[in-house]
Amino acid sequence: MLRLAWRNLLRTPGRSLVTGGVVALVVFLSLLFLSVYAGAFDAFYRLLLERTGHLLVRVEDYEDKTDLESLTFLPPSLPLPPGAEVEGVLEGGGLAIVGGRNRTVVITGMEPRGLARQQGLLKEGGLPRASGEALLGEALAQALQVGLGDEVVVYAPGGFGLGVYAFRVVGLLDFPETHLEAQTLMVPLEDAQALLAPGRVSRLEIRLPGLGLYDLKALEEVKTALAPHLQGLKVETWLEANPVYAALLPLYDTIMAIYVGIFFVLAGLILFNALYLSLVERVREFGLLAGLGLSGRRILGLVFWESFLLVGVAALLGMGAGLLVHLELADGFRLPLPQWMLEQYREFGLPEVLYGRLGVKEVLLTLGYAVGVALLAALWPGYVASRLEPVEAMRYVP
Amino acid sequence: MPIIEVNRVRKVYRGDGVETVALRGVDLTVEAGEFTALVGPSGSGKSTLLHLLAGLDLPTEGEVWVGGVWLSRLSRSERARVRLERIGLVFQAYNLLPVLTALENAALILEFRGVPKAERERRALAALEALGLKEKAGRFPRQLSGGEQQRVAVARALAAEPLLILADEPTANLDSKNGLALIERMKALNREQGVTFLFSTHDPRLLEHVKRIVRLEDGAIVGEEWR
Amino acid sequence: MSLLKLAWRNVLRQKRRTALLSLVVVYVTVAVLFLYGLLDGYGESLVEAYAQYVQAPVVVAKAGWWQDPDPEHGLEVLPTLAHPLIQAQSPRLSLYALLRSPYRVQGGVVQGVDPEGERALSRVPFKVKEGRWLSRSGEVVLGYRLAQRLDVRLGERLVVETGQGALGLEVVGLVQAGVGNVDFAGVYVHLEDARRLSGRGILATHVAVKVPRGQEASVAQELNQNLPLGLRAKGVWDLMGPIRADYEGSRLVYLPLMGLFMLLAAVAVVSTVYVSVRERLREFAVVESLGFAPARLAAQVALEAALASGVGLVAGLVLGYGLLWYTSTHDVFGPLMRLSVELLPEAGLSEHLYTAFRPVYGLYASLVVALSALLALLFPGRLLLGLEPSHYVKGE
Repeated sequence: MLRLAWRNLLRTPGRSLVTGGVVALVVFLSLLFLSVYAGAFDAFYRLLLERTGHLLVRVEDYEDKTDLESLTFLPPSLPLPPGAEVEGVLEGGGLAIVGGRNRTVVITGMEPRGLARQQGLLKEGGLPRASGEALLGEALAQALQVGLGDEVVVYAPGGFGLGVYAFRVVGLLDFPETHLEAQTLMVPLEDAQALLAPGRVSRLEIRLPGLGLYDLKALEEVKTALAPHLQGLKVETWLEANPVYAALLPLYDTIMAIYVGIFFVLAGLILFNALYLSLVERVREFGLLAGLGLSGRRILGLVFWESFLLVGVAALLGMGAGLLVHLELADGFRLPLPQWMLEQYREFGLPEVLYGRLGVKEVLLTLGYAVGVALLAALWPGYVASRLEPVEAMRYVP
Repeated sequence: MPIIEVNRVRKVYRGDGVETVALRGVDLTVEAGEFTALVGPSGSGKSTLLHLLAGLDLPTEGEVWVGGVWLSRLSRSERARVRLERIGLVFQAYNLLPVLTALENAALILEFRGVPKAERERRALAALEALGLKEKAGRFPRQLSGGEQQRVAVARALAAEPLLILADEPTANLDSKNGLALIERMKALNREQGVTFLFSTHDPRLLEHVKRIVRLEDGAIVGEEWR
Repeated sequence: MSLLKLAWRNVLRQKRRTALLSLVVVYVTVAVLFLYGLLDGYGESLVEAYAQYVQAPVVVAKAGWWQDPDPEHGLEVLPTLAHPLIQAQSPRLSLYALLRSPYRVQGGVVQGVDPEGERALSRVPFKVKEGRWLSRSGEVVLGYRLAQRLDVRLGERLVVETGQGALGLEVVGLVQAGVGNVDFAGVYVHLEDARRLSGRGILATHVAVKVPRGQEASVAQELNQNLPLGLRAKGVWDLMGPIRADYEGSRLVYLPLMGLFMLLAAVAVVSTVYVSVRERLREFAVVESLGFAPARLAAQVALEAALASGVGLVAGLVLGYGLLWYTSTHDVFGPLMRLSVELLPEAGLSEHLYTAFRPVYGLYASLVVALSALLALLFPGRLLLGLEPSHYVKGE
């Protein structure tokens, strides 16, 4: 039966090639699309993870609290797994004033390790090494018309620190997002504490080296271990700390399935047509097979075999090509869009260079669609073929 | 000037490495206004000769001139044009378009020529009427008997009023009454409008009416008689 | 005309086949219509958000301000703008300021506006959800999400500080516009207060101008020819932030994809036509023997392909426009857009997205018919060019 199906496919090589080509193309495009999309998604999330760390410790119910006093806390010592790094960060709003100009800023006080992590973003100058030194977003420096070595007065009332502090600009930072760059002021933690809240931090960032983007289970374990040591504080994973992003994650699978489905429905309809055409061309033969005593079920089986063979071979080819291109993408790629657009996309946290990702889930999704399409498209032509009356079919004239 | 001139025509078919010689050096001249029959056993090359004359195919060697035109010199489209304007064809099998009614089939050549609708329908209807098919003008081929279908095919050639009608066994599928009617109609056209007829036939009724009989055997002309 | 009839009858001869084929064409037509409607709807929602809420249809400011939007480059004299299409104009003064509620401090951009002028220009004054719009100096209207973050309520005081001064303003209204920038970041004060806060002798930083929809770019261009030296007008598309790239990027990605869809549909049409031509080679041979030129036979096949795909196209147009009508009148994408606004509050996204509904999509979709005809000419049509009529007319 398999051999018969195979020969039947080879009999109309043009059509088999076209139909198989469509299926292969769809499989290929789906994998490509999934790889690119997952790559973009990862990039988006990785940026978030880099900025917040794996786990965040903040005061309980921080969402409902508004004043600096109740939002900050004295950092407790925490029993962390070996290798884990913890950093205190103090964040607050203020106004940066230079002569007649002023801009609103987010003041971020960081420990030396946190400041060192900004090295890669450094456009000019160096990192703060002493009290009173600050890193400025390049766009902020431009708006304030200051450069390296200039002084910026930061006015941050409403806390219980000094409220005013003067910094010297020692480095300029280049963020992908201009709106962030335009309000970024990073200073040593002690300075921020002096300005806003002596001795306190607004969050502790915990980084667990070697832990990947979606290793949420491992994070949960650390979280549970930490919980008893936190009085009045709360620990959250990076995803929990960004609820909007967390809400996006489950949508991802659905949206992917719909996108890929749109392609496969088209492939399925085309396959459906091809199977039906090969049926009408061979009505007499099917009649003959029935006349020779082949049962309706086995004729149905023949049509299914043809469908599966065609889709199977095409899907393998498409998958091979898709995986090859994916390997290339996994080494990093740029979206094929004009440069100005890529730069604009950076504003939303999408880096210019992305790294393709294909999980087992994505490959299975594609394969599942291919099998489903092969099955559904063969259903009706197979049914029609199995119901042919041998005598009429053998006399059939198109 | 003769309407048909065939000089030393050979036709060889090649298929799957086997050569079949269908015509082996045929010479034939037909003058305008003739009513001539080609006779011979099946496989003697009658159909092949008619196809060459219609320009459906080209000879392997030799020349075929129709209406003063050397067909080998023309492209496929130009030969189609010659048929459209000058030659009427009637085939052994009915060869009607299944999606068109008898009237539309009969008017098809005129339509291709761009004759206005009213005019071509009038002429097609007249041709159908002459062959006793006026009542069935609105039917589709599948609603007609074999004989009726053949008469529609003849009506299609007649309605176009060509200079030359080539017919391959035109009465083969007709009963004697319809066969006779068809022969009468062909004779009348030949007599009144000077249409030249060349047809292959086995039908003795038809042979009674012809002026000239050309005998073909095994791809060559073996005899000729004038009445 | 009758050749059309002939082709039509041949298409209808295989009703089931044509119906199956139509499924493909219907699918692709609906996809094309829907995608265009969605893309244009997205573009329109951006234009509306920026023209009616975030910015204005046209904005005139000093060239220096466009480079460096600081009050330093503000207008000491308000320009007189004359253009027949200008419906309204009003000066605005935007400043960076620190917003202090009794509990919180946050930075933001304050818009100084003329309360009455703004009514003629922007829809923000009509979106006050609680309280009322500005009427005199000493008042402030806030985006409702910003007010939540600052933890201020109606009647409470908000201190607005710049390096040059501070004002305590009464919160008189909260706006809910459904546009991220307004709801999450909108701070509206009286123009007089803004002038005081700027600490400079400027009247405004820019002039917002209202012009009819669709005329923004051309009016801006024409204004630029007559503006006093140093001033520049920009239309709404140039006022959009990076989100414009998302819109244009989507177009760049989706249009070739739609082209591919249409091509595949055309391939399906042509494979069906191919089979039906192969079944009917004899008929074609007869027609040629009657004097029909081979090139015209191929054209006839192309016509059949066009008709076969045309059937699907018409059905697809009915379905597709039905769908577009629904999505252009019902806020189907609302939940998705609200999530996007939360994600990118200052991208100028709107919480609602209605698809556009334009007749021209039908024209784009009908490309599939042209493509089918073209492919039919190339493939099954070629089959006929190689036809040997004598082989087929020989009788059974």
